[in-house]
Amino acid sequence: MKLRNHLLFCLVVLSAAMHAQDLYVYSDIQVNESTGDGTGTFSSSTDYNTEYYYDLFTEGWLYFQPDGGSESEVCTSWGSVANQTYVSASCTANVGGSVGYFSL
Amino acid sequence: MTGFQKHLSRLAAISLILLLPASPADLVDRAKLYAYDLFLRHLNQTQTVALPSARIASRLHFRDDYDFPDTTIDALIRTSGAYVAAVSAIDTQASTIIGLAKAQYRTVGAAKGAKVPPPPSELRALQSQKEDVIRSAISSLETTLGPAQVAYITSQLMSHITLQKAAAKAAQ
Repeated sequence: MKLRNHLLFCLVVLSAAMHAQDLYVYSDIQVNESTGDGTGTFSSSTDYNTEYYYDLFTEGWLYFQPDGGSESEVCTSWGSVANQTYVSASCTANVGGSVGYFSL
Repeated sequence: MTGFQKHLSRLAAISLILLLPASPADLVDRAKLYAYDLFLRHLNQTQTVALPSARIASRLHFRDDYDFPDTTIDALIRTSGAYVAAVSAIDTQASTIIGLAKAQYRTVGAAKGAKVPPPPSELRALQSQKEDVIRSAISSLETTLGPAQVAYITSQLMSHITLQKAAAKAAQ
């Protein structure tokens, strides 16, 4: 079995922002080729002044596209914490012996 | 062009388009700080899990997918433990202040229809302390691994970081 993964890099700026209200997101995919597991990790961090106005929340989706097939969501996870500037969530999906790509 | 240079170009272009008040250099510096903040916290989580097999799998992931040599992974793990310990103390202080202030403006202030007051001034000082802790962690890595290896680490981490505006529905 051969699994590959790639991370789709996407820079999203929804509107003009002063850096005091920026949100940074770290995403990562870890693949275990021997078990067929793919784990997506999504974590977010912001500054204290932003957390004063907002409640931090993170949600991520892990997709798998088998070779020759179409991409589909295989798991999702979210996390939320009160008055904290860091939150993390992860999810794991098993694709058995399929060959293809994981992406977030 | 390296991944870091591509990221730098993207940040610079977007900041010009949107006429952001922060300079591209400021944005990149800030993105770098958050990249290390997020990664070191993530790494610490992976290394404090109960199952040894999970810790080993995490090391293999950073070796194979990030191309980090063992010496780099060892240094990052040591740094992540010290970093999380140091930053958690600051986070706790900030969390207490934020919690009290939110409770005030979301209950008492909201009932009176008042605008949200500016953030407590202590938060700015704590934010500055936190960023100093991140810079200290990066500096420690540079001392241990050398600037070239840290530049490589930075380029790898930046490819996992995205920037978003805190544009969700306002808390109040």
